[in-house]
Amino acid sequence: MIDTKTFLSVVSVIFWGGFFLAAMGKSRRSATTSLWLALLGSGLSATLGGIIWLRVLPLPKPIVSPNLWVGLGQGFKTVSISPLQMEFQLDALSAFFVFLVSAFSTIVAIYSFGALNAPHYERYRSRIVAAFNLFIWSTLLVIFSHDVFSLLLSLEISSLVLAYLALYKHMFYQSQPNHDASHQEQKRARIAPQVYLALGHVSAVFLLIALLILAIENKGMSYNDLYKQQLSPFVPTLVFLLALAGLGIRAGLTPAHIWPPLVHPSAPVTLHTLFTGVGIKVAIYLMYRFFFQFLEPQPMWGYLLLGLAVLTALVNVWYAISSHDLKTALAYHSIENIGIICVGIGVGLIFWKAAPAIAFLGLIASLYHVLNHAFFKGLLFLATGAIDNLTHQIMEMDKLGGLLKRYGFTSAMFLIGSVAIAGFPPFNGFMSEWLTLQALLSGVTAESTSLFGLAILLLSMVFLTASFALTAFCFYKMVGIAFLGLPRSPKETIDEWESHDVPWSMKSMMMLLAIGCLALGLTPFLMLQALEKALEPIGVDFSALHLASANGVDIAIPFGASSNHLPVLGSLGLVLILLAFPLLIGTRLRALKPDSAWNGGTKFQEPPTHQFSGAAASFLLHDTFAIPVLNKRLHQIPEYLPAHIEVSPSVDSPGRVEIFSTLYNFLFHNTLRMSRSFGEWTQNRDIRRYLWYIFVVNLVTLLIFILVKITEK
Amino acid sequence: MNDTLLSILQGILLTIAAPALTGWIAWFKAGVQGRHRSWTYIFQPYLNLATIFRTPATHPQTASWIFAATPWVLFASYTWLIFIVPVFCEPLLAVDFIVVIYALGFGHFVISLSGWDAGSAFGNMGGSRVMFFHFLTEIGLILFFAALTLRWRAINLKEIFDQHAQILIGLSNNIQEFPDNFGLVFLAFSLALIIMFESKRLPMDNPDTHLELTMTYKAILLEFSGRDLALIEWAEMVKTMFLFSMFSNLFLPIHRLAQGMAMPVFIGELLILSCLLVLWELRQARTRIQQVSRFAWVTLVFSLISIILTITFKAI
Repeated sequence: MIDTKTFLSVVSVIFWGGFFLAAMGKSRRSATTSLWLALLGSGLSATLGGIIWLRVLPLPKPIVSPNLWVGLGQGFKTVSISPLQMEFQLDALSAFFVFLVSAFSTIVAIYSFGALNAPHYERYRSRIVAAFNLFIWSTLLVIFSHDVFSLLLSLEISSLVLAYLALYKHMFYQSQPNHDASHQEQKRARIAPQVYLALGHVSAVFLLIALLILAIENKGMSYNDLYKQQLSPFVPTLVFLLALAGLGIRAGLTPAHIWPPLVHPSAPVTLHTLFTGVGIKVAIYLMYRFFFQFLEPQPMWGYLLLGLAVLTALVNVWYAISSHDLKTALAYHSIENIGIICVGIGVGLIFWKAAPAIAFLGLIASLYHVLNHAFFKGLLFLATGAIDNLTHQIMEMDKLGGLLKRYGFTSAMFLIGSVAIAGFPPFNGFMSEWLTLQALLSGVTAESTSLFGLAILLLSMVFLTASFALTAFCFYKMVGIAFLGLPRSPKETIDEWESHDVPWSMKSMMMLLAIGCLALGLTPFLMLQALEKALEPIGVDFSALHLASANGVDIAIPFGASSNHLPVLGSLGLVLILLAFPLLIGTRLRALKPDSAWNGGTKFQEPPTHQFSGAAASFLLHDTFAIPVLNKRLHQIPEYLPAHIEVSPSVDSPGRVEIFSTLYNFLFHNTLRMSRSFGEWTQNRDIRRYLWYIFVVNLVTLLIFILVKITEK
Repeated sequence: MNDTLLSILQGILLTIAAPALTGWIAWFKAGVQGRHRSWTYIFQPYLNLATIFRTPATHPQTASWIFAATPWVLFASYTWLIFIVPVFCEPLLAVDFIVVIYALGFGHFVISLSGWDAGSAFGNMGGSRVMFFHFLTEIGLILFFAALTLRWRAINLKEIFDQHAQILIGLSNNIQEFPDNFGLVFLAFSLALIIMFESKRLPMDNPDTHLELTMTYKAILLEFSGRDLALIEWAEMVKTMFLFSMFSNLFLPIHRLAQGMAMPVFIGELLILSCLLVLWELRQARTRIQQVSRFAWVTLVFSLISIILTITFKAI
């Protein structure tokens, strides 16, 4: 019998031990031992999470701390407020997320044994490992917490740890005076922790207000008091909007999508993987809790979330195409996938009452995508991290090129990840995108959908498909520039790169994730049965889903009674694997006559500059769809946030403007301008004005005094 | 078991017949343009394929294994599609259209990647254009199929095909039903434009060009030779066959009603459709590549009109 108390104390001791060991020890051996501790802790929690999620064992007992008010003094006892108790508990939903976070941390920990040996981590290894321990611990704490107070506390801790990790690149630039980073890159590294702290606290304020309103309405701080209570009118909508703002900033929904591309690439690659794979998923977990457990879902909220989510997907994939740095592009893709996940949640909100089967389909699609995204994006990041180590931190696509022939294994892993994220069968990205589209289509045909709803659903379906197609485009571009063709750097630079591929501790973890991508894609029927269990706490009754054709449309769930999709997908996968790969080996074995590439009749000389650049590849898209910035003055605003995207550094192009960052800059600029002019007006160093202030203050004080005296009588 | 064998036989037959369809289109187009050929010209693609198949394939020194794998993966992902259309018996596979869209997209992705592989700029030029077309056709297809789903409340292609065969029976009994199905006319136009995108026909791409700079799709194929080239070209022909048979199953499903005579009727439908395509092509010039997206907007608008008509008739 597992007890939450025992478990949490053991895990906390392990992670804090790892933290102190690495932070105090500073030596290489203490960092390695600390990494072993992180591995042990996350392995333990992954086991626990998996066991509880899949119902092998019953739910563990919660821990409830004594009333914290009592410790604060006698005076608090007389005030009639509810007791302040910290409570930690697991249910199936949080167990799923515990499993996700800690299984992923386990993989990253094993990968780090090899990855952190790179020379550029030499000075920071201990700090990175220390923060790694603390990051896992605080993320687990957020998921474990079962009351308002401990949730807010643990969210704050995890924000602070993340902000510390985002300092890494800036510290690196500071310590290396002769680095060759551009001014723009240095600025991005410098402002990343600031932006994260600012946005993290704005989000915390929104969440604090939302949670306090809920706590006051329900007269209790524990989640158990908050679940599905009757609230006063307008309160649910207010709480929803506040929670959407807070969690939307944390997840990076569109107006707030500026932070992950800034912050994530500033962290070391191993931790970048963790942030993207599981860090921003914590906000998704809280969305399930808030929208479906604390509140009663309403269709209008769903339409709002759906619109935001689709906008997020489209905007971020667009900027991913424009960015020319592997890590930045992948960070944009992470938020795009958050958009796809939120589409599922939006469908769940819209149809919660009207058509439960469709709502459950949307919810399960979103949860499936949470899992899938962790797998394929983790794979992509681990491969990117390997390349980061191999090329000594060159991440610009236009400086890489031809890596598939040089580092075969790592590049093949990146290729698998990109096929999966672009959503092509038989890999896992396809499965959840397919389910999401099916949820939208079922919504379109549902009887209860109004004309307004129909329009929104159709529009979001088209936009979502557009973002899927653009993802395929982006990965065509990324894989093509960085991994295929000829090297794009001068020969002297390439000679400095590592000559051998990464060690096996890194290779094996990439391979594990790649196999996972394929396995999750080929076994949707098993995965959906498992994910059902995770969704049970939020009140999903899956019997409606199994009946399938509830609303006219034959929902093609791979385990549904009426569909024969499983053999089809199986056969598709088999056709692709059985036909393509043995024959592929045959092709390779067959003596192909080597010849030079066709260059329009002239001899192909292999000058790297003859190749297509990224800007050229995306030229047609930009030429057709880029929105010109109408207001020329927007270009002249000082860039508090970096807003110019260099589409191609080599071509003399004007560059493009990131509209949302520009809007933030506009906002900052005008706020500063107005506050400055207000300050100059009120404090103009003129003695007469200050005398006036004194006179007015005296007058007001007198008046108040007189008024008080009058009312007393 | 017998049915399964028959379905497999049907797929294989369509795969083998695919070059003849391309040959027929080329022969008819030449004839209409005044270049009269013997009727055996229809079977010229078979000869071409056989000749290329026998020549040894070359491999650019700069290319990787992606280049070698592309023809096989492409052929697999397109040939698989041919097993979902019914002609003279039920198809082997019943899938929903999202899978079809993604299978088509996988082909685009793979062939475009191989365009990067050799390192010369022509392949990339073609690849980026193909991926751009992929973006345009994918949104066109999703809205097209959404219109069908809204109409029939089915997302499985097999059910949609059956529904369309049913309407034909309804219409032949009672022409009064026509206004209800008027939206389908717009959908037919929408799909026709998408088919022109996908099979690289004239306003979007010139299939007969020999100048690298004007090529869209063919620019990627410049590096391929021998068996690899033959396989890719065959895969393209199979894709054209699939698109044509999907069109005829949706908007001209007479062969579903002709018991025993399905195959000849189906061939007749293909001939009619390809004649219409050739007549349309005769009056077209190649559009500038920056302006191709306007055809995608037209497909979207046609699908949208059909959706509006469906909703209106449902409301009445």
